[in-house]
Amino acid sequence: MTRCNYYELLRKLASLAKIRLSDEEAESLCRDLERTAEFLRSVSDISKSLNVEPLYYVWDEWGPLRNPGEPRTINIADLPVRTKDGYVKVPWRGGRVEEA
Amino acid sequence: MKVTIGLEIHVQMSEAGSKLFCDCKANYRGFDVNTNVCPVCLGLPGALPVVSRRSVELALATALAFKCEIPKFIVFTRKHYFYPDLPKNYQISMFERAGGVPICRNGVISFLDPSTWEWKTCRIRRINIEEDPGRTVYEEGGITGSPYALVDYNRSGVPLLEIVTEPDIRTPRDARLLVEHLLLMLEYLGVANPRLEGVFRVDANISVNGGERVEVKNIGSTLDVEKALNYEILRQTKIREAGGLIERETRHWDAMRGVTRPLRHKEYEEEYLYFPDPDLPPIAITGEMLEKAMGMAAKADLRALLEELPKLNVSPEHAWSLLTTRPSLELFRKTVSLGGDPQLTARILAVDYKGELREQGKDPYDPSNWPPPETVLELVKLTISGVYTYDTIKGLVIPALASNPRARLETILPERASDIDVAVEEVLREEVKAVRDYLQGKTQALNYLVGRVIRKIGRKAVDPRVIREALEKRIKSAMGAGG
Amino acid sequence: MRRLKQAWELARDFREGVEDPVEHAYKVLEAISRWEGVVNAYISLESPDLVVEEAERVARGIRAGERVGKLAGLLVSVKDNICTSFLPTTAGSRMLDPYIPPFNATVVERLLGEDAIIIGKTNLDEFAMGSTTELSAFDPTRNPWDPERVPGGSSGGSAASLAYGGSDLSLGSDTGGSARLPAAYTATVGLKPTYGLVSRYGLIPYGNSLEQISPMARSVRDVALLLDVIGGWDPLDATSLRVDKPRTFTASKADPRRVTVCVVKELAEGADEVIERAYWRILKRLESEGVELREEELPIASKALPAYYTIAFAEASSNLARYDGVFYPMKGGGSSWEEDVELARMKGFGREVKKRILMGVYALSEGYRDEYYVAATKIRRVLRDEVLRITRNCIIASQASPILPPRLGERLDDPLKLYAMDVYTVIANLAGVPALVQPIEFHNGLPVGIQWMGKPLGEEELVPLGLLVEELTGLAGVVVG
Repeated sequence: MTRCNYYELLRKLASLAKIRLSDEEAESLCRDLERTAEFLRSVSDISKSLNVEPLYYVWDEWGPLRNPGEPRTINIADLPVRTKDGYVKVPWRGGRVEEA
Repeated sequence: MKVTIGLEIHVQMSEAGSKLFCDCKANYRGFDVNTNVCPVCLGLPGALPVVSRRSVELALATALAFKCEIPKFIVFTRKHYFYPDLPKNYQISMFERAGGVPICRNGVISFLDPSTWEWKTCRIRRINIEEDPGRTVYEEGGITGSPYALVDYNRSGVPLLEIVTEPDIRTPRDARLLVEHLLLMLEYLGVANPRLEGVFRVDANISVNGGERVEVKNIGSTLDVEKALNYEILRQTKIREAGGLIERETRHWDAMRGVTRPLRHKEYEEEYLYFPDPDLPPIAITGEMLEKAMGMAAKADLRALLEELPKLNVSPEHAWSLLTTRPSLELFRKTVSLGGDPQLTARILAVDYKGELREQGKDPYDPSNWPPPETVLELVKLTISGVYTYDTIKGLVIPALASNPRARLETILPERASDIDVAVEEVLREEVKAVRDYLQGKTQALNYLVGRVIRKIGRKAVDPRVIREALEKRIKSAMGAGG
Repeated sequence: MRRLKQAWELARDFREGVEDPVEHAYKVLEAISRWEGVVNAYISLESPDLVVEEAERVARGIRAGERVGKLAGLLVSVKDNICTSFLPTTAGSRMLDPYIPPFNATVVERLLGEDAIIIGKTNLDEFAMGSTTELSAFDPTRNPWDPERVPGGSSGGSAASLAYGGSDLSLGSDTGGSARLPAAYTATVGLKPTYGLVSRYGLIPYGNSLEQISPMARSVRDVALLLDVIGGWDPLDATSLRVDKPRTFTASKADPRRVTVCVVKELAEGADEVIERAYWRILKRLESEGVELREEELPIASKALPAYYTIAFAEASSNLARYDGVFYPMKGGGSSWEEDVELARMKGFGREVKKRILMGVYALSEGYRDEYYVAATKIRRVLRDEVLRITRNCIIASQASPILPPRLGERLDDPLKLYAMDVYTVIANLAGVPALVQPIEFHNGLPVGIQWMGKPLGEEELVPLGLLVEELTGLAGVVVG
């Protein structure tokens, strides 16, 4: 079976997004991704002829600043976390060595 | 040898009151684990960030203090990476190449070298506002081997200033001086208390003789800034001498062992997927905000503050000592404004009182350990009047005051010896040999006699010169009288 | 097909003692027990005893002459991506099954503040990603008008609960048409508010620069009633507009002679013939009443769909990064941190969600960001500016859906088929403008809807037009059966 062109890329994206994929899932997603990427790429051609700035905030309006208020503290034990001595406990074993 | 150093300093805005995007506390120290948290700083779905006014004001004042170009509005971006102490698995900061706009561009910091009184400068590339992640603690096996990581989110969302310099610094010592000065400025701006544990960290970039740039991360004290960079220069020099090449890399400063160690090599390039945070529309920097920030920034013009003092005949050393211990500077100014002699006030505060606090193990940065300006004024006046000698002030009054800064001066001033003549008479009668020695020209004998009189008077305030005069007069008159 | 009293009329009748909230609660609960087995509109329901208790409390208060809220006695369903601390909030995903938020969404607080009775959380495509409500981890919702067909999505559960009488009012959400498409498929009314008019605090985010919590109901005035309660500035949401609460409920039906409607070519064409005919029928009808019809063009509309999806995927990948098993019920079970996170996300997310995250990462990655994400935002600016220009002087008449409600499974074999359902609705999300969908006809028992788009904060013009249309169609309050 010929591998879908996007397979390598898909593996890299899955690694960045920290989603584990089985081989079957990867194969099936790969084809979808190919179709979808093709579909999305049509934005790039037309945008080259548009001489405008990107629009990130639909109203171009200024955001508010927050005046001091009371903290809305919650009890972390209300969440489905594992804890030890009040700390949130996660598996580690080396994880990622350095903080970015 | 040519050394080029650039610094990236992260400082918590510990005095900002609240976290950057929520009302939990900015100074998280002293809280039980995971009790300074809310839906926003835990990144719970549906919770939204709203920028704190105070954080922006402080950041703006900082930007003005560093003479930056101020933008018309600031924009926050998301930086994505997965880590247990980053609840949303993205950090909100300001990345220019993806549409972010930092609070400062192209500033400059002037810092003093107090051993030469030379002012040096270093350009500031940018200052960002961003949020701190939580704190991770590892169990047995440390960061590489611990089966579990334990996370405390009290720190998550605390406001940070990221200050990035250009590589204008030339020596590790200058790097340390810069950081010290920067922290002092931030203290005066009311942004951060530099003495809080973990309130700042430094990453340094160093290149020796035009070689590859090495980044050293995890420097947590100003002394370590100098140490780490000196270590790096040494390490790189050794490699060069052995014929090796310096690679571009990131290293980790191990403060306990005093070495830098390589970080694990990454298999892929960092991809942070930056884009402007849709939850945070741009914040306008208004004329009003600028005006207020300018007022705040003026308080941190250390150079101006420093130059003001010598005009009042305060010596540079005393001026620096006052400046670096902020409560003493405030006290100095208030005392002088009440009429205190500047030179003497500076000396008493910067040298004697501060020294005494150190002796007694008290924190000179705690304003409650300093007396009120009225008390200091009295003390200064007293010293000038000669009613008490400087030695008495230094030896008796100041220690008593340091133990109890709120005390009224009368209650701690030693009793004046009202009548020294009696003591003089007694001593002259008792110390016949000394008197004879003095008459024979041994002037030290007079010092001895002065000492005896002081001892006889006990713990009362005496001016040794007055005693000396009294002795001389008495002896002379005794001689004149033929005895 | 029958008609139920409109919710606002019911609320008034409760207050005047003409109707009994408790009796009404029983009726609705009965409808739920009758229909839910087939329709599956709800993921979680409040206990019937509690619902009746609440209704009794309202009844008592009214009898005692107390002042009660605007929604007192009304049963409101809430889409399960809106946080409630008293019912699980799953976003239709295994990742959050069951997650109980430690806070209520602002809109929920506002509902409770007006004495609404929140009867349950409705089904949705997982994380609101879908157009048919077939992609929920809790099984599809079926269209009460024809259970072989979909109710639209992603707010399909909300729409379906209204369509069979299992709720009086509903809160949905709309990122690319998610409240409007279901309205069109179920003969209900859905309004996507002006971006920022309704607080997003407590809405589990998918495309946060695009979405709004949306009032849904069986009539235009009911939607207006709900909008007035939930809308208005919220200091907890920095994208919330600093405006007073909207006042649309008391609006009168529009005077047709003072209404101008723009037929935008690209938004009128391209639908099934049946739908296009229905569209023109109502427009001609309006014209005969005195409405002015004008022609307009929006050439950039052909690029709206890919631009929308690029932005939505990018934002999704970012907004869903937080689901790593730490604070959430779906744990990875890995022994190393990276493994634990990867497994949690593998198990917790459905296929469509994974796909969208991966595409989003792609669109934002260093080599492709300009070509995809930034390009899409440029198209967005042009589109927004054009839409603002057009709507300054008229209300846009647009199709709501290119097709009649499809059968289950029909749109799932090809991703682009699913995305194509949103071709008319994404415009309003990209531009930030308000958009109202209401039923205009039935074709072989299947609902056909129409979409009106206004200018920013133009809800106060959309509602009057909607009331006028409702009068002409007579479809207010319609339910199955």
